[in-house]
Amino acid sequence: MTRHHEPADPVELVVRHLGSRRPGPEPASLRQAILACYDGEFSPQRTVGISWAKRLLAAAALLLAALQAGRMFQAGGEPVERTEVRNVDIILLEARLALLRAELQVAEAEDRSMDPASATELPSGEEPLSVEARMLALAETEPAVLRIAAARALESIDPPGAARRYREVLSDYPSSPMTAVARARLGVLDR
Amino acid sequence: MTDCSRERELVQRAQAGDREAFSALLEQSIPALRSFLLRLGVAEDDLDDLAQEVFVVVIRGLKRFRSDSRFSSWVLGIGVNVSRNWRRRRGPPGPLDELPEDPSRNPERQMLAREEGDLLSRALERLPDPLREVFVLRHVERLSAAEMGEILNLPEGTVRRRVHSARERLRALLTPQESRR
Repeated sequence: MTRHHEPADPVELVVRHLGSRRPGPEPASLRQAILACYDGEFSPQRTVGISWAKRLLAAAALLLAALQAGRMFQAGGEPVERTEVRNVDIILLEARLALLRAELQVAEAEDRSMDPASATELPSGEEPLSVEARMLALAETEPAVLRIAAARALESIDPPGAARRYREVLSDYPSSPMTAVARARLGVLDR
Repeated sequence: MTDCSRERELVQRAQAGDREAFSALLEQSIPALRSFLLRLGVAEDDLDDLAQEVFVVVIRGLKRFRSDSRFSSWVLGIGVNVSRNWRRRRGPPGPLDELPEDPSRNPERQMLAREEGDLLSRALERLPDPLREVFVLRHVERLSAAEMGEILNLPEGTVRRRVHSARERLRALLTPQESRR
């Protein structure tokens, strides 16, 4: 079967080969990110109470879910539209949830040095909010999150455009914790 | 309590917002999903991103999920769709006979084993998605036709035919004449 010898049954070889394949160890951030998504969807009250980093993750998960559905929403008055990123599949491809992982690391670092009392609160209410409503609420409290996500989606198809958006986050929202993410992504783009 | 009824109970609690229950579902689902995606041919570098994508879909659909099918089957079914999208974005596989050069100085046997593994993976990649999926589910995950039908939302007869075709195609691909083309 290879160039070197004949196998008895090639199908069995494939089965044995596949059966022996094992993924590497699961990164701890994977489960954290998924649980943060769950919190965002099922326990909005809880996301208010937990650390800022986890709330950010939950928010980013909601954002990506909204982007995945091709929805449009306002980011601090500026529309973020699917046409702006050309193709919603590309958003999925490029943003995927890598954003979550990047944010987790940065936001956890931020969280350690941040006064929890100064963190922005997601609005809470007795009625559960829809994804869209929570996204809009989030855009009001932390519009830089949306800019970051849009920039992240643009990175592979329009790197200068993505870099411009990250710089806009730095200049427009200088006190936002998201500036740490913008700086980190600019560093990656400059490499 | 059987695995099935425990899973059903965990799903119901997770649907009601019980984070511990959802965490327990993740405990059993993530390792199986990661192995499955890897065996479907997803690159190791993309594995965790895709696993996250799968669970975002799971979380968004969890409230609507009905326990007449198994949660683990549902997760693998979403994994199938997510891996198809990943494959589409990545483009077609390379030719079967162009094995990459191995620059290391490993003993010859190790090199041959690696080349062989590479060739087998590439042969599997050249199967159409529906055939590759049933092959992995049947021969690696060891699922029954009924379980595969549930995951892929297909009649059992179709699943069986696809398993047969997958085996035939692989055999044809892995004959020396084919692999050298």
